[in-house]
Amino acid sequence: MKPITLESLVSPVPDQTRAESLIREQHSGICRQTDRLFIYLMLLQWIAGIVAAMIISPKAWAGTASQVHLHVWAAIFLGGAISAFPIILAQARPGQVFTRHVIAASQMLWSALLIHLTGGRIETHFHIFGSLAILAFYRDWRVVITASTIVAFDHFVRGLFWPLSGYGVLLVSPWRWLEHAAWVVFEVVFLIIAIRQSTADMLLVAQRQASLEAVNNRIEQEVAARTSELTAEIIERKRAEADIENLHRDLLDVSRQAGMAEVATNVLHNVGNVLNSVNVSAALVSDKTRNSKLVNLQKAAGLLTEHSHDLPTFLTTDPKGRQLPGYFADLSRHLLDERSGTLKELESLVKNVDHIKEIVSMQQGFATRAGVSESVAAVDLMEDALLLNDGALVRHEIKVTREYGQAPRILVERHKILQILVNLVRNAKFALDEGFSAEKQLTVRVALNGDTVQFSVIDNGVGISPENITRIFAHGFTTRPGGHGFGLHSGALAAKELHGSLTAHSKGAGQGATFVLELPCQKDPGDR
Amino acid sequence: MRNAVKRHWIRVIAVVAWLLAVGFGFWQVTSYSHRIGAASSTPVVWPTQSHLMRDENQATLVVFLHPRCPCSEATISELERVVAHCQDRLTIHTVFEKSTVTEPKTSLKSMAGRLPGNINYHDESGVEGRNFGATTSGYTLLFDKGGHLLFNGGATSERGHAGDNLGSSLLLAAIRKASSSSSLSVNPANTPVFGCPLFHSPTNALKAAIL
Repeated sequence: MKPITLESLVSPVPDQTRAESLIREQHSGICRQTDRLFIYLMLLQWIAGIVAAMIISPKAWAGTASQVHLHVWAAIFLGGAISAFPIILAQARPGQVFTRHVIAASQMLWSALLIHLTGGRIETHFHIFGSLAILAFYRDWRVVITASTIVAFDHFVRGLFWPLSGYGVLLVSPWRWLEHAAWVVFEVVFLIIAIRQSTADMLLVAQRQASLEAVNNRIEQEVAARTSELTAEIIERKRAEADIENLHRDLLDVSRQAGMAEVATNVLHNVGNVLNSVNVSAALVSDKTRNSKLVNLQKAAGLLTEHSHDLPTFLTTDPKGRQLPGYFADLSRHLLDERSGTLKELESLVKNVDHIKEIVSMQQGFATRAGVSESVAAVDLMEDALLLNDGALVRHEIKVTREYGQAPRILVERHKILQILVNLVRNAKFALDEGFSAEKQLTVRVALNGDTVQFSVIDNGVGISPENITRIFAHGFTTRPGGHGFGLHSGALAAKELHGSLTAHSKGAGQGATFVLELPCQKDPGDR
Repeated sequence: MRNAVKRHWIRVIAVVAWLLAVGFGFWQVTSYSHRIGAASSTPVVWPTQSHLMRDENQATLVVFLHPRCPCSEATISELERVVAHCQDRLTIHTVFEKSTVTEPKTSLKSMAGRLPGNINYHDESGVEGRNFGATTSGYTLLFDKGGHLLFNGGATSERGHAGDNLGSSLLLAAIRKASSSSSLSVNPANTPVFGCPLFHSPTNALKAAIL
């Protein structure tokens, strides 16, 4: 992503076209505003003219006769005419050049009329200078020139047609008009200078504004581009997260399947062990049946049938007949012994079949109850795990010590816990096989620890070296030849799924190991 | 393009019409202001039958005013300015033609009262006006201490308009001349008078009707 720099945003040359457009807009706004100002000023001057005429010269007299003074009518009608046209233009054509020139002319005509109505008071002449200053609001020097032209024209006409008037040629101070004109020119010159400076300032401000707008536009474009890039990145990241989640789910499934395979292998192994016993028992029963003395009993029965006509003589005189009662006594004892042995073997056979049935039943429970929480006693879970490994534990001469504390019934997904515990017991068995302890000691512990239930599997086997203790739950990590590295990894994940944890502790190689499965104690509501 | 030209001409016509209308109004007002009052025969020496007291030690100025004339305030203003240049060298009589209305305009009376050496006189029946040939408000006469006329006419350039004008300038010159030792005036200065008629006459009524 390209970094945003100040140089990349600020244009060294302002947009002149935009600056001119801005200054036109601004000047148009100023002119419209000034037009509105003059609307009110024209109305005010009209009212002021009428009031002045009615106060100063309300009536013209001729002896005792009087009438309304011409000044009153002039203030009403001439003043009205002077104000009306610029007011109409300011309303209908605000901001136009034509309008402001008419307003300038009108304002100067008002100066002339007010001076006339007030009897040429010198103070009223200030109206001219004030008006020129107000007209400078337009920031258009041509307007001031128009106003000055009207003033000059007024003086010229008066001097021409009324030579005795204030600016007439018959005046005692013939150059007084020039003094007046000089003062007007004085103000106009400085007003024009001020207007030009103001216009230059406006242009400068407009150029700066144009530059700022350009910068803003670039920033907005940059932001839009970056936003688009970020959006694409976010989408890509979400897609990657989804892929990772899918992969994680697949790994979980694989791990689970691997764990289940281990469980199945273990179960099959246990079943195989039991089947050996079943096979031995069945072979014994078969041999005993095959080698039974019942055949001799048949031969004895044949002798009795052959000598049925002289049975007393045969039993008393014949050597074979005389041995026959003793033979029957021995045979019955022997058959009773046979029966006793066969029953014993059958009993063992039934027990082993029951064991298989139990293992299969457990496996069925494991397979069918996935995802369903059920209420189980924590101790029973540990016992099931031991039972599933029972054959191996006995075969490898491992001494199992049970330390069961006060553990409640808990509401859990049974197969997940069982999977973890079977793995832990199985791993302990391998650790004990590889260890050097004279006595293979496996301790299982179930205890309540606050709000959690702890399942501990402790062995005194080969132990875990410090460098491996942090890697032992990593996927694919194993120290056992033929191991897959799935069992502990899937166990840890399953514990996390159950909002619990699976931890390993070992003082080092040859020091044994302790695995602790800790689960939140979601007590069965029915457990009192 | 065509519409633009049309609009341009409409504007030009509108502005010309407006300027003509306004110009006509100004012409009327200015003409009215410059309308000279009626002239009459003026005595070249102090009329002996006058009840006004002529000052025999210095020049005497007599000004006739219509008590309600709005134009005459400009005359008083001009006299104030003139008198300021020659205080204690002039006696002033301000004659209000009381025959026309009962009471002079308050501001006019007070303004006249502020003139130094001024004596207000109420001409009950217009006798003094007739003695001095006064017909227009603002009519001013200056006599030297010998009673010879030095100046007669108006002290303003138009009706009700104060400011530099020929009348006030000539009046000031005449006063200065009267103060000098050789004050005899052979040709008294004369200027037109701008103001309301002092007396009602059919001619004045006709003018009023026209205006």
